[in-house]
Amino acid sequence: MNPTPPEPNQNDPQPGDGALDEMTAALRDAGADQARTLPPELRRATLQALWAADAGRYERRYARNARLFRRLGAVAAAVLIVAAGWLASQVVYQAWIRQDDPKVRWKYALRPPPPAATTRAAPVEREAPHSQGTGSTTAPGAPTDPLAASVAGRVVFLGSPPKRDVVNLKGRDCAAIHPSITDDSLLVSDGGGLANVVVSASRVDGQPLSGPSPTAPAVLDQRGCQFIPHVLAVMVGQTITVTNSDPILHNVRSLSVDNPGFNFGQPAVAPGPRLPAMQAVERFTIKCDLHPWMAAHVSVFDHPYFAITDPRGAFAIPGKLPDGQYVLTAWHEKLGQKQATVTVKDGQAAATDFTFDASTLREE
Amino acid sequence: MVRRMVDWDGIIDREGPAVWRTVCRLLTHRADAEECFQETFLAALQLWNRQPVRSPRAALQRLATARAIDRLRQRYRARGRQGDEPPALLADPSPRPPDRAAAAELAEDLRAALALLPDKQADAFCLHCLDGYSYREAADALGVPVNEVGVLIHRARARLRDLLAARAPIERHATREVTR
Repeated sequence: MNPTPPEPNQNDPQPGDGALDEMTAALRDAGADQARTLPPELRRATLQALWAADAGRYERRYARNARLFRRLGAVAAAVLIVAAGWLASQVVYQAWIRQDDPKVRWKYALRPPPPAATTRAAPVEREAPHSQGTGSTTAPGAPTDPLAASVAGRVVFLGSPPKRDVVNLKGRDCAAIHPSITDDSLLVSDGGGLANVVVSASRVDGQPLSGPSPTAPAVLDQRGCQFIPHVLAVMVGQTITVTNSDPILHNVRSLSVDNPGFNFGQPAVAPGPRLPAMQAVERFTIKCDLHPWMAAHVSVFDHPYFAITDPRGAFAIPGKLPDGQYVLTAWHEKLGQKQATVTVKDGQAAATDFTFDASTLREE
Repeated sequence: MVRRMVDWDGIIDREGPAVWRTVCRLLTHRADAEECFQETFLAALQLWNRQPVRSPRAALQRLATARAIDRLRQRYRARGRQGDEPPALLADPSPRPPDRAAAAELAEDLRAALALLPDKQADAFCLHCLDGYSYREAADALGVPVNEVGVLIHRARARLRDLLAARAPIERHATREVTR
C-alpha cells in the first residue's frame, strides 16, 4: 500500500517564499537614501497645516458655541418675557380681586375703593329736584340735607334683627373673587336704623305729583356678585345703566311687567348697555340667573318726591312739596310697607318716623 | 472640557522621519509622498482630538501605511485605465546600475501587489514585514488581537505569492539567479 501523503502544514515553506522575501527586502530598502532625513520644508509645511487645521477647528467650535449661546439666550429671553407677563398679570388680577378686601394692607387699586361702611346699605342714587339736569347725585351713605327737604325722618326696626344668612359658595368659581357673601335684604344698624327702605310721598286727595325726570341714568353695578345699590329708585323717563365690575359672567334679567324688560349677559367687566327709559310706575326686581342670591329692587315713580333710607335708617325727601296733606309710604322688600300722613305747611313738615318689627317679616 | 495641548513639534521631530521613510518606501513619487505625509499628520490631528492616543508612533505608522496603500491603489487604478508609463521614481532619473534597477523592479512589483490586498492585510504586512513591527506592536497599531495579526500576515503572504506568480516575477527572479 502506498503511504498516505502528509497534509501540507501552513507553516512549511511555500513555493515562492524566497522570491517574496527578496521583494520585501527590496521594498524595505527602496527610497532609503532619499528618506534618510525629513526635509525641513516638509516639516515646516506640515506644522503650518496642523496649526491651520487646529485653528479652523477652534473657529468652528467657537462659532458653534456662539450659535448655541445665542439660541439659549433667545429661549431664556422668551421664557423671561412670558414669566414676567404672567407675573404682572397675576399681580394685576390679585390686586383687582382683592381691592375690596379690607385685610389687604397694600393694593394696586384699579378703581377708587368703595366707601367704607359697616353695612351694605344702598345709597340713594337719584337727582334732587333742585339739581335736576346737572347730573349730580346724592353721595352714597350720606343723608340728604334735611333743611332742603320738606319731609324727613327715620325708619327703625324694633327688636333684635334676624341673623343675616351667609350664601353658600361651595363649588362656585366666584368664590375666588369674594370669600363670603351675606344676605343684605334686611340691614339694621346698631341703633336700630333700617336701611334700604323706599319712602315716597303722595297726595291724600289723589292729585298727582309731578316733576322733571333726571337726565343722568341711574347706575346699578354688579360687584362681588352683588347688585350695588341693592335698592334703586328712579323716575319715569329715567334710564338705568347696569354695569359689571366683576371679571366673571353675570346675567341681568328684569322681572318688570309694565316697564321694558331686558335680559342680557355680561361676560366680563363692562360698562353695560344703555337700557330703555322707564315708562310706568312699578316695583320690580332685577336678578342674575347665574347667581341666585343676586337681586336688586327697583321702584319707579312718576314724581321726584321719594327717598331711600341710609344705613342709619334716615331719609329725607328732597325738594319742596307744595303745602298740603300727604301720605308717606315706606316700603321694604321683606317687611312690607307702612304709611303715615303728614302735613306740609310753608314747605316743611314734622319729622316722620316709621317702625317695623319682625311680625311682618316675610320669609322666603 | 479641558483640551489637551498636543506637542506637534516634538511628535514630528520624533516620529516624522519614520513616517517619511514609510511613505517614501511605498510611494516612489516625491510629491505623492509629501502629500501623504501631510495627510497622515492631519488625520492624526483628528484622531488626537477624538480620543487619547497611547502610542503615537504606532498610530502614525498605521495612518501612514493606510494612506500610502490607498494612494498606491489610486495610482495603479489610473495607470490601468490610461496605460501610462510609471511615474518618475524618487531617486534621481539618471541610469541606474543593474542591481539597483532589478531591486527597484522587484519593489515596484511588490507595490503593485500590495495595492491589490485588502486593507488590513496590507497594513499588517507593511507594519510587520517592512517597518519591522513585532506582532504585538502591529496588533496595538491595528487595534486587533495578536493572533489576528498572524492570520492577516499569513493571508497577505499567500495572496502576494499568488499575485506575484501571476505577474511572473518569480521567473524573473529565477532568471536572475541563473545569471549570477
